[in-house]
Amino acid sequence: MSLVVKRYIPLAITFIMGFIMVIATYFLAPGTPARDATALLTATVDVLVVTAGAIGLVALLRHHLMNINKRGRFWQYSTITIIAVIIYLIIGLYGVATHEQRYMYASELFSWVYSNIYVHMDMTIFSLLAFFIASAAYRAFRLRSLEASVLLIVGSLMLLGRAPIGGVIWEGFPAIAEWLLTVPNAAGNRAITIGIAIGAISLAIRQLLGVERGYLGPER
Amino acid sequence: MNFINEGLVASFAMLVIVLAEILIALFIARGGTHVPKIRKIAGLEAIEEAVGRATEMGRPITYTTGLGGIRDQYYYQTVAGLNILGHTAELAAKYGAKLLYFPYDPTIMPMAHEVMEQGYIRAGKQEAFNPENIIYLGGDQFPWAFGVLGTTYREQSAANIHMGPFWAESLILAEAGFYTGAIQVMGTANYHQIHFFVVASDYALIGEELMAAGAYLSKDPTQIGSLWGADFSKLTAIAIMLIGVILTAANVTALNDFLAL
Repeated sequence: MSLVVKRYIPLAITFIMGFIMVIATYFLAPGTPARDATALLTATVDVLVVTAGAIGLVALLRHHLMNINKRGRFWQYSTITIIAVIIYLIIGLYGVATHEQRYMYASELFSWVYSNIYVHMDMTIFSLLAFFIASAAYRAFRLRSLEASVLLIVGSLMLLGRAPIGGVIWEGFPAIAEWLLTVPNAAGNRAITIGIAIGAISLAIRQLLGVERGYLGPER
Repeated sequence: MNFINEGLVASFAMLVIVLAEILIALFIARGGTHVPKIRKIAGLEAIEEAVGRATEMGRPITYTTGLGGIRDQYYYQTVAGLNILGHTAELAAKYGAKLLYFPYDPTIMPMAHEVMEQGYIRAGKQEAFNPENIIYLGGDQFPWAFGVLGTTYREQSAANIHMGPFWAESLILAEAGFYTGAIQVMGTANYHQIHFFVVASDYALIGEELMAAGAYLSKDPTQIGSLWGADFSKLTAIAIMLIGVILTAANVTALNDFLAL
């Protein structure tokens, strides 16, 4: 593939699209035809996303099929994954094919599987996060250094200030927790946020000007 | 008649100031008049140590770029993560370590493929690049996170590198690395997850350090110049805040009125 196609055209598209978005945000009033036209332009990203979705599906199936073929570790779970993907795909496509609103429709069965199977499994693994937080907090709150000691004291005060029992033990705990949250925490937080915002603008400028282009791949 | 949309005048003025400062610094550095020095970023220096350790132990490196794709407002973090992925791939190729990358959004798979391959080419080992090491586990937060956790645990990864936008899955990924005894290098600009990374990882990139990674690793004076310009922008922001404090204390509302325009 020539360098023009692989490098210069993507850089030109990046610059033009970035320029259009800045103009649209600041100079085109919402609701005007010109602003709507730019919104339509951004919607073209959906075309890429749909294509990438298909790539994702193929990649997922390929990965698990290869694991089954090689009899890799826990290949049985790969079988379950493939069966689940195919069944859910069939349910979804059948629902779309048999309904008038074909493009934006989730059938009753599709929604039922999502709400009664998928959501519960998702929430189950989400709930495991509590145990990860507990084990990480145990390590973080050990008195190993001055910083860890400050973290332990501040964390304890926050816990006592936010949990109902803290206010029962001493009515000053909620006020201390509130002060910690709105004064030192907010100050540090805003400093990081300002740094992130300016860093993001700096990165965007490098990308729009084509100075930083590592994400485009090999120059050959 | 207003040329600039209502409520965005101050925002546009700030954008112009920041843009001017960064562009001036960028062109000064490009011209060679003054090439600024950049301080060492421990998290980025530690990647080589992590890759070296994985090579010595004969175990893989786990890498993710968080939950970002190409269509969301966190895209800049994903791109920063991909820049570091390229550097990690180059080091992995150089030392002969196995690098496993787990994309969350399929839209970044082609970019990740190119970036990793570029890393192997730079190391002169294109033939060692294996596209099957880019493993797509699905595009939903917790199934993806536990897929990465499970693979990290099964493969007993010796290095755990996570760079990009993260949410509630950040600690799950960090704990996976802890249980395998991996050296952990993590970075995000999502301020609500930074503390998790600071606490749970060996090295953490905080906020803007992540965005500076591409320029830092490239050693390109033009890119480093843009970081220098961003420092001037931070000074401008501090100056505006100080002026705002003084004016507000003096009961002058001019700056507040301008910011509301």
